[in-house]
Amino acid sequence: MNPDERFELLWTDFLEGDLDADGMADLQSLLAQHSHLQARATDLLQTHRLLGFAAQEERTSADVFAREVLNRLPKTGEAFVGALIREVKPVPPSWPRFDGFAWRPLTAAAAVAMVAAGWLWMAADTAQVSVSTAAEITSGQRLGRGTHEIAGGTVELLTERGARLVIEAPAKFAFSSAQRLRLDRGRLSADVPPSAHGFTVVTATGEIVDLGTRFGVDADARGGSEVHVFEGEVIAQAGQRLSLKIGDAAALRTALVMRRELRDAAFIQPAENASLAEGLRQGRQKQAAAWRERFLKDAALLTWADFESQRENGSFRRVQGRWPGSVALEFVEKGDFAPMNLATQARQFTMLAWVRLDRLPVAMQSIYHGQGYSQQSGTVHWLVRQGAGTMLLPVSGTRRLAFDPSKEPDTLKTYPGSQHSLSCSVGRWTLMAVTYDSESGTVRFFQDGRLDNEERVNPGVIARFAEARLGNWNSQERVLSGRLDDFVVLSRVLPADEILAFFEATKPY
Amino acid sequence: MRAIEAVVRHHQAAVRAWLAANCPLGGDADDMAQRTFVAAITRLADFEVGTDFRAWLISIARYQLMSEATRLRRLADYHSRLAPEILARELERRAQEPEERTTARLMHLRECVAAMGESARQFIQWRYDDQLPLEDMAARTGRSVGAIKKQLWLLRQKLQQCMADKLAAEEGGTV
Repeated sequence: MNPDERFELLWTDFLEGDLDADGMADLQSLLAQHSHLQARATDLLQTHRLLGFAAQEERTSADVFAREVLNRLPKTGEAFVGALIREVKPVPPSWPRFDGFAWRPLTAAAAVAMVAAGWLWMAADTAQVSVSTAAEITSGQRLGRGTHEIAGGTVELLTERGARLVIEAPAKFAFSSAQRLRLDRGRLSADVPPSAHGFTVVTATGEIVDLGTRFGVDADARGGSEVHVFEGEVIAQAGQRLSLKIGDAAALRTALVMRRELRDAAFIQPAENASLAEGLRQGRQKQAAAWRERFLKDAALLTWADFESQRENGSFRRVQGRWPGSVALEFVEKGDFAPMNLATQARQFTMLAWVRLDRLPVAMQSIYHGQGYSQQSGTVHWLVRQGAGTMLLPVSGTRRLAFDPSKEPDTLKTYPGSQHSLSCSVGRWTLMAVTYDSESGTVRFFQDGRLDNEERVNPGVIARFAEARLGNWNSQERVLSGRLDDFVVLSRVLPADEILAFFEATKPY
Repeated sequence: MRAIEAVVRHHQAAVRAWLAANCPLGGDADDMAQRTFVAAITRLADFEVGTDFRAWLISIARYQLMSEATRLRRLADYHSRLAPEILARELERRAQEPEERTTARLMHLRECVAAMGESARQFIQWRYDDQLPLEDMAARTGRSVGAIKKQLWLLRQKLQQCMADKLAAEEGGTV
């Protein structure tokens, strides 16, 4: 019998507790003579113990273990522990419980399917996930190495090390370890505590290595990716390495990292995700759909653009709207726009738009921009000012007349506008609305259903809806940075209570 | 206490797994894990908030482990009854390795078990989940105890190789 065969017999008896003193001496001698068996024996022993641990952990759950620790514990300073918890960000009680590792019986078909997809080290809160083209992801499920693809919604994950991730659909991702995520497509925001330092996101064009921070990664369907640093520092690698700190952003190209402007508000983070999930639980998506059906029967409806048809031309990204799987147009680059030509005129109109602004980067951002403002009376522009963050609704031809000192002080506006800033709405879905009545010369502004301001313009100018652009006017100015979901135009003035009802019925949170 | 419980629950798996893999032969890994948490919580003031809490826990667990190894070595017949001396030394050496290695091994091990055939997984479940005596396993399968030992040896070898392949692939930069 050669040493390896002898080792097999002795070792099996050793693990099973069947090795007597003579056998132990024999094993000791064998290990002393053959160094390769020392490492092998230790490997096998650790494997044997980890198999036992995995099985034991199923019986002695995290709860039982924690209780046993508490029973052995003297009274101690809770306040410091509270501070520590905030620092290390463990699983809060309201979250799906994650025990770290669990040993699943491999009997039920569902369990086998789940295990076959990989092993389990992520906890998922998937209240927002509506459509999953890969294996179904359910709330509280632990994910493993398999590739996951979500067509709609967002999924919130907590890694074993405490990194909290929100991934927005459409997305395709896979964990190669608890500290390494491949993101083929989708938009991810990561909150990485010190315990998960080094967490890495791999995209088609590079890697982002966390150095203790909050950051976002946007991987588009064409293989491009960007990283935006909300807090702390990351290392972006795409051939070259670049340190990015708070406020920095970069596009990862093949073998090149290019600086970008920060769009941190373009990423859904845990607080907003929780609000979106709660909205869904309350049935808001169905409520909004019902309201739309009602509006589609309104004879005054000129358009309800929901961007679902895929027919829009122009330059924009097609991203997720307010609801899982819905479509919004996203304008990022200067010059991004979508054309719109309603080919009509209206004495009255109401425009409503669900907008998610990323930022207000230039003096004027354009929501709707009719072409030929200086040539055609009644051309409509709907803008947001940078500094004040307020809306403007200039309609060409309503310019006030030259000041006549013999008359009452002139209250007519050249550029009627709202009063309250939209800057607080950056990074969240906001309903912007305006109404125009040519007969009375009245312009009203609404923000999230509430009347914000009413101003007067010269009456009698019929609004003209011809060639126009949603989003940027041109590539030099009036840039819109953000998403546009439903865009609605009616040829009547909606009263304030109906606009409020519209908001309440179609808001996501 | 709820806050403390949350901390324990959050980190217990990693600490227990590390101790299970590295604790000296004859030692009680879960007892050491509990003592680790008790020591950590009673000395929380020593922890520097903002540094790696898990690494701090493992450093305490490592201290517990070394103390236990020292205690066990003092037993007169320890090496002849419980642990070949060379094996005990090798375990102590591995306890100095990063905790992440144990986590990776456990993760790969689970993947390897999941990839096994149903019959092989049944043996692993009997041995580790159900803790069946070898005689019972022999009776259930109509085989000899010797054949069951051989089967377990082969399965452990297979799992060992599977894990080694995965670790090598990971360290080589592929997954």
